[in-house]
Amino acid sequence: MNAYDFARYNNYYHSFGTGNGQTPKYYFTDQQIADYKAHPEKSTDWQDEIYDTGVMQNANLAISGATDRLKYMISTGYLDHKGILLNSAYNRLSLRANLAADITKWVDFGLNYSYTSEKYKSPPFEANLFTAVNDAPRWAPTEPVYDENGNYARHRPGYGAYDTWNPVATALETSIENPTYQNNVNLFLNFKPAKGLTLKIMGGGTFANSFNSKYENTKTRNGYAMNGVGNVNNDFSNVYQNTNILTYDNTIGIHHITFTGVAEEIFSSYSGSSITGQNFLVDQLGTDNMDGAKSVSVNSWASERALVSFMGRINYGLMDKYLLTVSYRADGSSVFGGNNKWGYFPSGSLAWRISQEGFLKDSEILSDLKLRVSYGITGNQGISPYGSLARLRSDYRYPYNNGSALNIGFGISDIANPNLRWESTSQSDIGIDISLFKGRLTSTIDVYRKVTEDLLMPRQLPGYVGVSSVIDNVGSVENKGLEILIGGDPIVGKVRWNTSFNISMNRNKVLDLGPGVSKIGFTPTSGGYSLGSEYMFLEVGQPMGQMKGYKFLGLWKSTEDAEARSYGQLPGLPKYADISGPAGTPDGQVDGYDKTTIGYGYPKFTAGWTNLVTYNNFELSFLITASYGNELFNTIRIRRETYEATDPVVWDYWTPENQATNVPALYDGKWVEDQHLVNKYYVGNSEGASSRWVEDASFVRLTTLTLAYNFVQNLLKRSDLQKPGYISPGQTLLP
Amino acid sequence: MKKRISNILYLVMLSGVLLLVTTRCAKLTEKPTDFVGPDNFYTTPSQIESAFTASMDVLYGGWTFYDWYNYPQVFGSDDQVYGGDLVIGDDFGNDCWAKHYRAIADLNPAIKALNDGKLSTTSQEDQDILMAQAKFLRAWNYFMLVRYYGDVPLITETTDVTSTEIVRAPIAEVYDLIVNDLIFATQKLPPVWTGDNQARPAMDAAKTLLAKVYITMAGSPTNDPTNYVKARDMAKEVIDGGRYSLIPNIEDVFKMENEYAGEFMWSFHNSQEEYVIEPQIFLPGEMAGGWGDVKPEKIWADSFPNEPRKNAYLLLDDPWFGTGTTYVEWGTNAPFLRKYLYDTPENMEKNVSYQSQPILRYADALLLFAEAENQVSGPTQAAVDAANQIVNRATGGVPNAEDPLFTTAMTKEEFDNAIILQRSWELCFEYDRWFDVQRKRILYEVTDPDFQQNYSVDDYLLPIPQKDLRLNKNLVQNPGYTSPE
Repeated sequence: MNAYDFARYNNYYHSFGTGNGQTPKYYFTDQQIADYKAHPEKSTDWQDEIYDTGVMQNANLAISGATDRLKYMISTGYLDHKGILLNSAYNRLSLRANLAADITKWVDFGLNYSYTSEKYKSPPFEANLFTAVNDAPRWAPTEPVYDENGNYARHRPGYGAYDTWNPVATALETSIENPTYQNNVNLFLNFKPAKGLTLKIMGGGTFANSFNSKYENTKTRNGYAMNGVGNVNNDFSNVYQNTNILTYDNTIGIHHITFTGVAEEIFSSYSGSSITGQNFLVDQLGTDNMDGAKSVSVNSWASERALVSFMGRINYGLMDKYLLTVSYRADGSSVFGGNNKWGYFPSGSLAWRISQEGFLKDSEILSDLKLRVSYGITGNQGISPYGSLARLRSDYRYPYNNGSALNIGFGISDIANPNLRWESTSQSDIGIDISLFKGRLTSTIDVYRKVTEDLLMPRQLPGYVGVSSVIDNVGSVENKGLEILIGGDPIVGKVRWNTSFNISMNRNKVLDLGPGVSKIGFTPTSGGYSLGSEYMFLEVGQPMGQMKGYKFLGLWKSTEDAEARSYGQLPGLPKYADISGPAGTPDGQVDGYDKTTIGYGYPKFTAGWTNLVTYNNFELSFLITASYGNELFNTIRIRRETYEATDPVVWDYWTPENQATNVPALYDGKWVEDQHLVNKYYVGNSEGASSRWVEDASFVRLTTLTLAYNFVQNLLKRSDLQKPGYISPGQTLLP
Repeated sequence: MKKRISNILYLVMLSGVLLLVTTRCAKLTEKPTDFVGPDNFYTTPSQIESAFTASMDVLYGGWTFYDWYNYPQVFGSDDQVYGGDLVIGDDFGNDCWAKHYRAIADLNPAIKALNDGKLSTTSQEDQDILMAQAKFLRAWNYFMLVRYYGDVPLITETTDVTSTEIVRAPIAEVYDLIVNDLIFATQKLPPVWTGDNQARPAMDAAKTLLAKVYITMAGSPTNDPTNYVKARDMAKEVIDGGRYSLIPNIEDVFKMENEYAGEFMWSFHNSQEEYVIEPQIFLPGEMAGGWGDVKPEKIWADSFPNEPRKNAYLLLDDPWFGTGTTYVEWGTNAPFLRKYLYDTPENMEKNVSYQSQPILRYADALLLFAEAENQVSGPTQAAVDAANQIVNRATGGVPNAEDPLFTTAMTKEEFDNAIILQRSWELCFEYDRWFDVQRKRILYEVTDPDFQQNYSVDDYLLPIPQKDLRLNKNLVQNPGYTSPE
């Protein structure tokens, strides 16, 4: 919306503010409005101010070679990405070195090392208060970026959403630097003591360290209130892994057998500390000089987790036609309750390579045809450690003793859950692989059913417990579906075209949520202040991603005046479906009994189409993705189209002459009061949870389009480099 | 053959290596690293006190609850706080329920540890003082809950919170716990806290709170008038104790330097290390970018007597920023609230305020005494004197027809009505008016005529949160609100 429309609408909207003894207050004079009309360039498009075109650059160099007993590879890469949000960027420097050597005939050794340095910076963009992304769509277009003195403008009271700050100031004056340095070392020893028998012993670790800093100077909202706010955050993570794999592989006549045994352990430790300073004497020094802050608070943390696994697997092939795989694994994870550390997961599969049968073996058209059947159980331990233990939180601060200093508070944060155990998913799958014309056309089709039991997620607790949820095995869900992949090389030769298309259909259903529980609700975002209660639900027998709320039937029509009034409403105001009541029938009021399913978050099907066309050193690739049948709860619209009115759609408000709209009418407040309507819409703080904001989120989109040129491969050809290197700068990503 | 044997040998040997390597299994037993569990805590006085701190931070920690962010939602139904049309949705007060129980969850383990003798090396006297604070805080939380919701689950130090047997305890049972906890607190809290501990609740805070509990029990919904005597006696003990007095000049009552002065018994505090309140909540848009979330209803503000108290408690114009505006230009055409705008204009401009907000003050004790005394013995001289301390300070001692002095010539009913009105002015926006409306059953009478059609007797109680009803089928919803299917 431009300044002229915004100002006009604002005055118009306020002209109705006559209820509760108020007198209408106008924020814009006729002169100002005329001026906005005459000078559209005085409008500020805040989204335009904070977003820019992103640019990405990428360069790679690799060198590799080999002697009789030694192989090596060294590569390095650099990626630089300027983000679309003002003052945001990402760059990554990576280095990789691999070395493999034969010690004796039956023992070889290898070392893989990699290093990455990533630097990321961005203004805050979370859906919190006072972030540039959140504020830009809601800041009045009548306000300039800078005032007449060149300072960031603060918007005048009443001239837009109050809980916002100049988005350009927030973006430019918050400095966030998040560098992460990661080293990864992996050593392995490979023993081949006898034919078919190998033992691989691997040991390694990943050591990462990040040093995040954030400073909000006095031109930002928080910095203004606190005289500068800075935070530095140090994180260390060490992950050690030991894997031992014993393989025995032998072919005896028509029998081919492979046995694999794996023993593995992974130990991870994380620790970190953080310093937050407020009230800086020198604004420019920021987080580089925390001792210049009058008030400093610190925090530190540490955690550990361990996983131990044993696995045995037998692959058996008969005449290369009938293939059988059976495996069994036992995993022990530290994150579960005392007696539930271990989970046991068997699996098996059968495959029949029909193309190997005599009647198809010599087919010109069919190169491969395989039918597969499998069943297996897998485990999930993806939760934070210590979830089974009762815990206290120590970050409460309140001046309990006296007002001059904060005291430290320890409060209950988690209740114990000794029963916490592995989540497991049993999956049955029937699939077929087809390859035609020597692999130029391939297809894979899979039908599956997955049942996840002991689903790991926060189980809500009644409010009187004092802790809102506990991580638990809350129930089970089913997923079943069909996946089809078709790929091939339609054009080969100087111009090559490789293409692949996939489509998948998944249906999910909640089977169980534990004894006595039929529904679990969530509030993923409060959407401003308009979504006071839960609106996303898991419900037994229903798909996941279910949205519930009031069914929006459009606006009351002029002809429905009497009926509208019986609900305390008026023509032009939102009409919600009165579906039920305490007796199970519509009861003349809209309340909790009338909440119904208003949308589903998961798509009915998704599809993707990848393409790679090469011609000499040119490479053109693009990916098209599509999704159908999913719905989206568009919370930002609630603010933009109702009380903050920064979306042009608000002009389409209802009048007796303009009834074909979903934008409610504006009524004179005093006049409405004089109607003495008895409001029967008991929608409370969750009026926002209505199907008015649910949108079809189906899409077809060109996800990536890349045009690349590979520099002449001979450029670096030198006699001692057997495999030439390869550089491809100038890769451009279009949105 | 030899080859075969060596093969087998290798296999055995390698399996051995495999086992060897993995026998050094990383320990799967979790040992807490950066946190403690409740079993290893609450063993020293400071650890017990940290539970009190946590319980207060939950309710007043910056956009949590009593820092006024949610206040209008719960209290908007009264005639003082702007907003509210008695159309009460099923989600009203969700936070209120959760936060108070959260505070109680922090206090119960402290009480349990004291009962279990985990502080055996601390003197009994010191243990009693700790227990008295814990019980005072718990009683206050339950007193808020029982008035908002009626019957509520009674979670104490011995309750298994995960039990499926938890039900809403009858109001009488909840009051038993409140009264017992407070009697203990009145006996064991020190008469005064000094210096570094001056923000803690002392004996007279417990007595004033207990007097308020008794007077509430005398009114609706429990309606047991025998409690008036107990309320009167308890309030009288506070007055006779002489430890508190009114701040003489009405303009000084809410000044920052007086937050621990003679009148204030127990408040929500801010420290200079952390601001909790944005004064914009109370400011009109014309000043310092005010948001005006919390402001008076026009009818109520217009009926506020024109006296020095009106200027001290309500904001009629702009004393700080030179905008030259008065309340007629501030949208609602009604005065705003001044009580919580006593920090400096510089801080207001920066969106911060370090002002505290009282929960119990001596003015309340005087009014409780006057009300209970009148109910027991009629408008005696003692009742009149107590009430007139408030009136005289409000008017600056200048006779004012809009706020006349109490006299013994008043009927018992006139006196009672005048006290409730006096409370509405003196204790406005101090978490009090809604509960007076409730215990006196005057919601319909005080409701803006424009909203009276929405009134129902069910409006006196908030709905039990849907989440709790869904997760515990033993809980029954309050009348007039929906239950999840």
